[in-house]
Amino acid sequence: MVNLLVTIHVITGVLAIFAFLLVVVELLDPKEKTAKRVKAFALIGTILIFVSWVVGGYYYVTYYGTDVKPLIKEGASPWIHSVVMETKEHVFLFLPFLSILATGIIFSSNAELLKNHKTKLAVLLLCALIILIGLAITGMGFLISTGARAAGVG
Amino acid sequence: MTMVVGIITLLHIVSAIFMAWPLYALISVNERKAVKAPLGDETDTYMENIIKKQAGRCYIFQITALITGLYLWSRGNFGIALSVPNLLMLGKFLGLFILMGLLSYVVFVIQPKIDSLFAELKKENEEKVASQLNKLRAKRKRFAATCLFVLLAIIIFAVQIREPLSLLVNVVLLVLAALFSYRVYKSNIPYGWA
Repeated sequence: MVNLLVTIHVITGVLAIFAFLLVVVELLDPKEKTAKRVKAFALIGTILIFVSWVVGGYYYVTYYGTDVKPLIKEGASPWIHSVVMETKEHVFLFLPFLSILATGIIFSSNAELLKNHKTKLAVLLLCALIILIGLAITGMGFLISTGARAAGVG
Repeated sequence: MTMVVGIITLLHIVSAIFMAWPLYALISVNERKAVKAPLGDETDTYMENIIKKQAGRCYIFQITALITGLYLWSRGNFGIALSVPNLLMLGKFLGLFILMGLLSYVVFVIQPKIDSLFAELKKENEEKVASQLNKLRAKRKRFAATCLFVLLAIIIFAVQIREPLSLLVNVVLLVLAALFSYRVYKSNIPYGWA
């Protein structure tokens, strides 16, 4: 159960990054179906971020807080929790709202997205920010799982 | 090795192989010179489109390599101390971010200028526009050669994760990587290695 939750949390998070990356790729080289595809990728990315959030939150409350956190804090690298996990928890909160904002702009701008350079640039920057924060979160996640393993978890 | 680690390792290696684009981009750009395709004609546009559209694919391969690499590091029991394998991994990580930065500069700064110059080509003084275009293309070519060197440096670091080589061997390998990148920048390497 624990492994399944962590796996779903990681896979949905990584797929969300790729969904927003595909938005960027589509906007860099717009084609006939770009508007439709961009909407689909952004919506999928946002849903995946929320799934990752809920599953990660459930895992944190049910297992991490009671089983993993004490071991990390008593181990050789307590900063893995006190710095990395704390940062991850708080920085992650940007992602659901940034993804809603990006998806909202994409859906409300419709055809304008491809014609208006400023709107396109705004969406590109938002997606780039989501991808960068997503990658940072992924890195922190792997750092935490390395720290947990070093502390004797799993 | 578990099945998941095996599959992720395969994905990591395949992504790295597909990142060899700067090598082939430089070869094709050097071939363009040999063909003497006039600026903006069909052959030129065909090659320009291939180069331009590769950026999206490059981002996807780079991010796949980054995420799979982070997973493999996390599963590799390297710990979080400043050991030689971890420093090599850090070098690979920074190298990948340099590649992403160079690619982003080309995509968001150089390429839009090239595109707008192509649009102007038929309206304005062709010679003036052509000279600006060639300057930007030369700059993009230098970036591709730098990307090739950084990619080779990443591979040099990658092969040493389990058994690090001596510092001298590293210096020699990096110099050879630099020489090869310069050679690819200057010629279409008819003999493969030179």
